[in-house]
This record gives sequence, C-alpha cells and structure tokens, in this order.
Amino acid sequence: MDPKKKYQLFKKHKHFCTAPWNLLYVGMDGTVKTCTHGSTMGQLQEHDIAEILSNKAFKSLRQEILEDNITNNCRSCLKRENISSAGNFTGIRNHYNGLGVHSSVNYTDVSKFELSALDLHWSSICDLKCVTCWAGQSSSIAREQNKPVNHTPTKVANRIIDFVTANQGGLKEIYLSGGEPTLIKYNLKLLKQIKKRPDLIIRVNTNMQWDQDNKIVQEILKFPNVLFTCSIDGTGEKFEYIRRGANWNKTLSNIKFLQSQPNVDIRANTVFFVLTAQQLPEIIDYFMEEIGSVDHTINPCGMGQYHLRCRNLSNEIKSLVRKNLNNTFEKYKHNLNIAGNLKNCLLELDNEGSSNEYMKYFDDIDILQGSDWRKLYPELT
Amino acid sequence: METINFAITLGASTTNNVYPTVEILLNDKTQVKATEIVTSKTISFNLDLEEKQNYKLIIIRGNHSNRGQQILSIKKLEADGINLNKFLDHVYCYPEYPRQWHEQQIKAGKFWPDKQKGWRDLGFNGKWIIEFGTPFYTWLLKNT
Repeated sequence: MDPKKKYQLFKKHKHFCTAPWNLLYVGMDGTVKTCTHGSTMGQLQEHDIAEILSNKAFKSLRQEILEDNITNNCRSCLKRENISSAGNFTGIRNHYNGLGVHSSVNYTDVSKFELSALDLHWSSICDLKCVTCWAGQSSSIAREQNKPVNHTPTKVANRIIDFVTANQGGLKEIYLSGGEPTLIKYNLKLLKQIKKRPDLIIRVNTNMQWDQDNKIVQEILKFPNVLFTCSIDGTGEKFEYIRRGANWNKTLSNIKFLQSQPNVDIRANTVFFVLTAQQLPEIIDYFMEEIGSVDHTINPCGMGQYHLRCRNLSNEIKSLVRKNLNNTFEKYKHNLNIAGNLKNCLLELDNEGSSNEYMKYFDDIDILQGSDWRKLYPELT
Repeated sequence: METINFAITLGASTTNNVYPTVEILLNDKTQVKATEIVTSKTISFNLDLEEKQNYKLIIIRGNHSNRGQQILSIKKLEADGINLNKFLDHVYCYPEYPRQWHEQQIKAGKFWPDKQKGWRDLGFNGKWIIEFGTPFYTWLLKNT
C-alpha cells in the first residue's frame, strides 16, 4: 500500500488498529474474535477461517476503523487506554500496531487479511481452579461444578493448524493462552510445524505448574525468542490458596529453569482483586527487581467474579491500598504498562462497594478443599 | 521516486558578530549552499528520493573562527510538516574540535568522542548526519 497513507493511518488516526487485518484470535470453543477485547466474528465449527476473516462483520469493522470511528467492538479497549492518565499508555492496540508496521497487507482494502499475530485460547484445559477463574476458562472448575468443558473440536483445530502453517511467512507473534497452554496438545502439533525464526516471538501465558520435560514447553524453548508470562497472585501460602492446586515451590523452580534459558524473557501478571490488593506492590517489586521480569501486567477482576473486585474492600483497607499503589505508581511511572495498569487499579478503588459476598465465596471454597482463608487474610474478615 | 519537503529551523548566537554557516548535502550532493545563520532561520528544501535506498542528510556547520563563542542549534526538523525533533535524539553530531583546545582537554584527562549522539547545539565547526531510507514514509513509520 502507499507508504504515506499507511503512515497517516498509523500516526494520524486516533483509533487505528491493525488487529482486524492481522490477528487471528481463536477462543475456547473455536470462535473467532477480533482480539481479546473484541466481539465474536464467526464460529469455526460452522465456517472456514478464510470465510470468517473476509465476512461482512470483519469488512464492516475494518471500514469503520478506516473512518477513524469508535466501534462497539473496540470501545472497551479504547476506553481502557483513555481512562488511564499514565502518559502515553496505549494498551493492546499499540502492541498490534507495532507488529503491523512490518505487515505488507493493504490496510485500505477491507477484504484483506494477512496473518501477523495469533492469539490462541483454543481450550479451557487447566489443572488449576484459581479463585478468580470460572468454569468457562478452567476445565478443572468445570468438572468440579459439573459443567461442560470448553474445547475446540479436533477437526476445527486441525483446520486452524493447517491455515497457520500455510500462512506463517508473515507471522511475528504467537500468543498461547488457555486454559493452560502447556496442557493443550494442539499447541505441540502447531509449534512443530512453525519455523523457528528469530523474528517470531512466542508468548506464553502460563500457570507455571508444568514439569520441565513437558513436551510443549520443550518445543516452545526451541524458538529463539520466547516470552513467558507467569500468572502470579501472591507468594507462598497465599499463592497456593488463590491458585488452587498450584505449588509455590514448583513455581519458583520453574522460574529458575526459565531464567537459565538464554532465549527466554520472563514477565508476570497478577489479578487485582480483594486478596491481592494489599500484596500487589510486593509482588510487582519481587518480579521486577529479584526475578528480572521485563514487565508486569495487572488485570482487572473479570470472568463474572464481580464480588471479588477491590471496590468491595472496606474503606480502611481501600485507603491503605490506595496509598501503597500511589507509591508504586510513582516508582514505575516510566513503565507505561505497569503505570497504566496501576492507574486502572486506583480507579477501581474509587468505586462504591456493593457487596461483601466474597466472604461467603471463600467460605464455600474452604468447605470444598478444607482450607482457611480467614487465617491467611484476617484483616478481611 | 518520491519528493519529500524538509524544513530545518536553526538558531545562532555569537559573541563577536561572526555567525555560523550551514550547508546541506544529500549524500555527496549539495542541496542548500552555505548560508549564514543570523539569529534564526528556517531552511526549506525538497529532496527527490529513489526507491529502496539509504540516504545521508548532512548538515555542515562552518564559519567558526575559534575566537569568541558561537553556537548553532537545530531548533526544529520537519519532513512534509511532520515534526521529527524527537528523532534528533538519535542523530549523531561530528564536531571538529579545535586542535589546540582538544589537545589541552586530552592532557587534562578529558575524553571527547568523535561523534556525539543527540547534540542539537554545536559550538564548534562540524556536521550532523541524519541517516534514513526509502520509501521515506515506511522508514518514518518504523523509526519514529
């Protein structure tokens, strides 16, 4: 495409995002979305990938983006970056635009798609039952609650693997999430067929409970450029309480293992909710300063667990958390991701609390597994 | 072939009424002949650029007599109206240190490198070299 037009789209449009032209996002059951924040654009059990990527919904969205409109599909992502006051924090859109700079796709053509990035969540298979998670995203929780397990059918997964393998030339990033990606067999089948190029980054979002000879982990480590994001919601006993089924010592051992790999960078993510609010600065510092994490993401509490949001903390604790987060914000104000995320946490604390249902929620978990959250978090009871 | 308009705003100050001069080259071809910068001046010129080439835009600063103080500053760099001042932080300046002064500095244990990154003010003669490639807007997108 005309380089000047491309420059103008990227630099002069306020809401331009390359994801609809470059990103293939596959959800738990084979749904295709524009991105993690976007809407469902098609179902792979019913349609071919190419058919979905050039369907009416995609074309219409691309056209709206070319006209620099804020669409319903993009609203929540744009809102996230706009409510943050951490300087130039621009969220995930900026991430994909960074990849799109290298794409040869013609962004003015609304029917075009060229694979640059892959975001695979194609199964909820997971060995943990984290308290912030839900049946739709963890097979272990689904089984505990007698609910169906979300899993992309093998036939569909094979079609995705064939499509990605055939279109891997321009691929710059594969993001493996889940569920737990080191347990999803499709990932092994896919990665075996992907060339181990230095300009391709493999990002893995993992619960860190894998064995070091795990075949998927071993295949991931064959790539020259790997970024492991470790899900960390505490340390020691608190980590094990929140991430039900996880072992803190195993996490530390796997972190050491990853630190010894020259092709691996480590980062962490933490969910901001009632049990992590007070320990968050400590967790961030531990990873950034002691582990050598390249970054840290703090996710808002979602997945329907609204009773766990920090707005429901007592005013006294909120005030303490706010003070600590402001200090942490000051410390990391030059890291736009951390600063932006912390700003969003502070905004969450400004909301009026509506429930203390989280107490009953944790009491019920304690009954299930014989734990005692009140002993671990006496200040919350 | 693409044509890009460059505009460079320069500022000058002197203690002896001798002002710096600026000559602008693209690779080895003069684009703007040596011109005196008195206080402030914006030099605007078009560059015709070939496809898939690497270029050096060279700003040669002269007329420093080694007597009195004379500073030349790049105040603003624009291409097709796009402000590239932030990019100047990555541009190298190659000062021609006055020989006697430079020798004294070395004797005093002060090391002055041959090139200085991000210098926008130059009190000696010397040059800035701005490297870029074409297609210009593709380069701009990847580097700014």
